[in-house]
Amino acid sequence: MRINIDVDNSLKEDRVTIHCREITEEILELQRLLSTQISIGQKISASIDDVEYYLDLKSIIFMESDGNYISIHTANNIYRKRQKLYELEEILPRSFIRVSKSTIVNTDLIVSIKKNITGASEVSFKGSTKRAYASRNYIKLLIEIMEEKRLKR
Amino acid sequence: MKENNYKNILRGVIVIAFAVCLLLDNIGMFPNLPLVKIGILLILFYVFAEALKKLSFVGMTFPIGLAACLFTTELGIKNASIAVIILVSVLVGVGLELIFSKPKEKKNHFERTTTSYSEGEGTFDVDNNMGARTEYIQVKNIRRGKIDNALGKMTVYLNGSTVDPDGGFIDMDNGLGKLVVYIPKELRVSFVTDNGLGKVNIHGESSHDESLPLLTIKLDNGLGEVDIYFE
Repeated sequence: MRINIDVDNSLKEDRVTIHCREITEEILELQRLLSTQISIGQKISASIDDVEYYLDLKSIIFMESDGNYISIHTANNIYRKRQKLYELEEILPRSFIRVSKSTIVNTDLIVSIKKNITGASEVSFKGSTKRAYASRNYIKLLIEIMEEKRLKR
Repeated sequence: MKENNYKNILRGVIVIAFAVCLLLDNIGMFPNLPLVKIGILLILFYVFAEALKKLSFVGMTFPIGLAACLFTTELGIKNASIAVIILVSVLVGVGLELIFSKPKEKKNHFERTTTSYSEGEGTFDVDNNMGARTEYIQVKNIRRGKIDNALGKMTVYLNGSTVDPDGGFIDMDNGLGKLVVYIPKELRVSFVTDNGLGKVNIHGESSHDESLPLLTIKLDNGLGEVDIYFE
């Protein structure tokens, strides 16, 4: 596979096009990696009281639904956004996955998972004392994704 | 204070009584009496009494279930498995909770189902029996609050809350479960702690600025674990 970069000053926005003979797993993985990388630079708006903040996705450790709002947790703060969790789930990058009916976590910031076969497993995050809980229905997928990250290294 | 002393004395007496039963059983003083079981029964009776005081049905039926496991032969339920006996005791407790517990007020516009609070009055009430639950409390000018966790795992965030200028009071009660509470480190907090056989861990510090209103937290922990984080 060759990598070329063409600089064109007339373009209004950067664009990445993949030229290939056929769609393979490798090509799909490349597309996923690029999508994730593009999303990481994006921000999400949320508020504390009357102040609206623009948060880097990479600073978010997990999100939890709370009625008509979502509580967005960073290491040191909690922000609120008036939206449904499933709506946010559709636009977040692959590193964010649902671990229960009410919680989405950022797998890039997970440091440990304390498994509990009878109830919710406890998920810990880098640089924070906060914990999220993964239900039995979602824990298997979470562990698979974490294993996937480990093998790639 | 007096009530706390009385509780500690009672707990001390029960622990010593259990130790005496263990010793007497070991030296064969009363060979016909199941002294170890009697000792355990004393502890379970205390747990039952504490739960009765708080009208926690699961807290009452669970020690009854454990006691039944100790005396399966005497009660004629030798064929029942221990897991089933305990499950039955918990289910009965949950059923009684559902039948006899008073419904919680629902005043807030965020549509939470087990939290009730009113920002105008500066009060809130959070209650969890079993299961894992998280509650976000954003009450301005807290005057009075209650956080009650029986057997489950509850996380409470007080981010965004403030204390009434005349001071505030929170009653925190944890039975057998795990309670985690996050308190903004900008608040000035003092604790009155009553810990039974469980663990209370406080991480970080609250503000020491004496010009700030004081939030007093009365923390009562039975056999469970409480973690307080100042962040």
